[in-house]
Amino acid sequence: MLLSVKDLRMHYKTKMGYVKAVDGINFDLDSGESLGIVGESGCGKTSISMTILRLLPDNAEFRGGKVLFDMGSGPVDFVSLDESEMRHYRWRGISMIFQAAMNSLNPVYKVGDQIIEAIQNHFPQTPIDKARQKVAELFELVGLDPSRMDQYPHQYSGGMKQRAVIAMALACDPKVIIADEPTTALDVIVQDRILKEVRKIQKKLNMAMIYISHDIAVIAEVSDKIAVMYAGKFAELADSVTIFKKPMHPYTYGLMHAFPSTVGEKTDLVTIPGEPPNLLNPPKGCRFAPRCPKADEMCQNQEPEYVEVEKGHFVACHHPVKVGEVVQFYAE
Amino acid sequence: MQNDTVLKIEGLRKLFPAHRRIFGRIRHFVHAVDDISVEIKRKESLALVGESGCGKTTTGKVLVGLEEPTDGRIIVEQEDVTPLLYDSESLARRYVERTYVERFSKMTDEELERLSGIDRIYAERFLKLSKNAPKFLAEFLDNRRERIWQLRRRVQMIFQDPYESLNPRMTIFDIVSEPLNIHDIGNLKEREDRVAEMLASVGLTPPETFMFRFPHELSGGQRQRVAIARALILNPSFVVADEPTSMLDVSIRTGVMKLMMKLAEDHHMSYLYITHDLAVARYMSNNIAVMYLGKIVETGSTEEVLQNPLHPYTKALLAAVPIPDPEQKRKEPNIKGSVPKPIDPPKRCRFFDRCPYAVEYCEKNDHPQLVEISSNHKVACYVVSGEAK
Repeated sequence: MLLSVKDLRMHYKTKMGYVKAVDGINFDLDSGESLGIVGESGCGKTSISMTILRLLPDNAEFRGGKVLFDMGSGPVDFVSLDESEMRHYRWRGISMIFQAAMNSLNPVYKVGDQIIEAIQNHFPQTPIDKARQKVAELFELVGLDPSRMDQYPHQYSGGMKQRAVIAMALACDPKVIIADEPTTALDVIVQDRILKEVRKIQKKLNMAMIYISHDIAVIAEVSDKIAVMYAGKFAELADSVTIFKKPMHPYTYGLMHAFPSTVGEKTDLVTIPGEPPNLLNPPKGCRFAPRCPKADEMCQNQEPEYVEVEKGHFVACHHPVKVGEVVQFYAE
Repeated sequence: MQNDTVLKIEGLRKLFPAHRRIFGRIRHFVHAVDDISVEIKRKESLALVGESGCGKTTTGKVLVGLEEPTDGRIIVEQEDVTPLLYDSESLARRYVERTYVERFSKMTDEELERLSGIDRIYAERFLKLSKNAPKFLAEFLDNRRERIWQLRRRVQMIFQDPYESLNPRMTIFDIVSEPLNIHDIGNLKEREDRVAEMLASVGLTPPETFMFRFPHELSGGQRQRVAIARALILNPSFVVADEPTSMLDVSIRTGVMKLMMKLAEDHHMSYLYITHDLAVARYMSNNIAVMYLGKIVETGSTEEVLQNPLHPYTKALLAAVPIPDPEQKRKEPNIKGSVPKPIDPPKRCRFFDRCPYAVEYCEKNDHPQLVEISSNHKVACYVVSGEAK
């Protein structure tokens, strides 16, 4: 297994108490596989990637778990590494495409030079012409004209900046790439091109990918398997077709039916009542129970276990939705 | 039939100066909105869709008076409100002279009587005043302030970001009752009742628990409900909604969408629903207008346009929307390049540079007019209309 996350927990310390942003996350990722993490804002999906890469702010407190990463020489637990050892794995092992491409590039350096800097940082022996050649190849790969590597970020459009950031993330041939909402600020036509590019490169280089988004439709396009996250935990994880066709967690079910589509029949959209819980004081039992139409007393008091119900299909629910069952959500 | 029209925009243009120099004339303009015409009937909603920078928000801002129109006429419920959208009286006067007085003065009585639509209403008035131009002008310009206020009661706006559109230092009651204060409606007790009723109808129940809280104590969805309550408290006939749900999470978004539809029905109200999301537009509108670089390229009933898009841009836009179903494969969007800047665009079809079907005819002629292809479905494309071979 390339990357294996076991019972990962990370809480943010605030004046009011601990925000339980990542609270017991488990998943495995093989090379060439793409995992989509979908969830609403504040559910902790970005915090997962920050915890894996150990790029946490000062008020974050690691609360246990394992991040086992295997580059071929046996698994290494990121948690036990010190900062300099960890640096060895960032970019070369796991690299990240950040949310706001416009802000990830330094405006006063040429785009090509910024990527060369990343390459030479991790492989100091690389001569400059080799590095430039590598950048030209990367530009080609992401669909940018290599002659643009000597231009500054302000000469790029939004979509081009995003492509440059992707090229930068690929600079050190990572085994895993984490893409955190890379297309959220882009228009649909540009988004479509970037999504296709990302998917194509991921397959071509046989990389593993973790794609984080709030948009189920985007996740459906790029993922082999999908994890639905709610309030710091995974509610459900399965291959993407199963998640869409046979959702078992009521939250997944609601989400699937709340999402409008331009194709197919115009169905009635589901409204999930209430709001996501405050992670300072999440509900005692199942975190979705206050909004769930199937919740009973057990759900209020006892946290459901995250179990494998079928091969590769994990659900944390006391009363999973059966195939063909219609769940009625009662909005206020 | 005519009286059913809540809003009619005719030939609206809005140019912004680009590269302003200290001395000398402004030579370059951003054509944000360039000659668009739409009509919204009572209780119907129109979705204005397009990518960022296509001019959809500018159109909305002109309608509520946040931007002055450069050209064009805006009619709200059988009244030409364009003079009220200009900041200065002299511009308003110039508009009335140009649009009505100069034109009407040249016409004979018979010609005036033969006019139709909104022109007819004003022509009749002109004849009644026995062609007295100053009196006619005065009818447009007198009580300007008062009439601008009246217009604001009828046309309201809901903004995109509920974290920015609510004053953090005002309580929910203050925010929602402010329009009542400004328009001096009711006494404190009546205002309280009205606000409570409004909060209940937007789903903030019980209202007493929300009235004296501050925006920071509410979630995004609740804030947007407050913004909706504020926009609707004066019972407007028409609301400009600028991406009201794009900042909200999926599980909350549908609730706000459904609420807006229900309120439209209850209050006999129409929306101009501005959005970049075609799937949301499908649920929020009867008709749709697709904008590209300041022009409407396709318009028609929403279902018809989404199921049977004709303009190459609409087709590309629809093909690019991800489908929430991993088993469905989309078509490849057939479009070249990226959106150019709308500064002094050439006269030819705006979509020419990106169009996969463009022929010589498209380059040689002006931007195409909207042509009705089937009932209530218009397209601005020479290739689709068959004019270009």
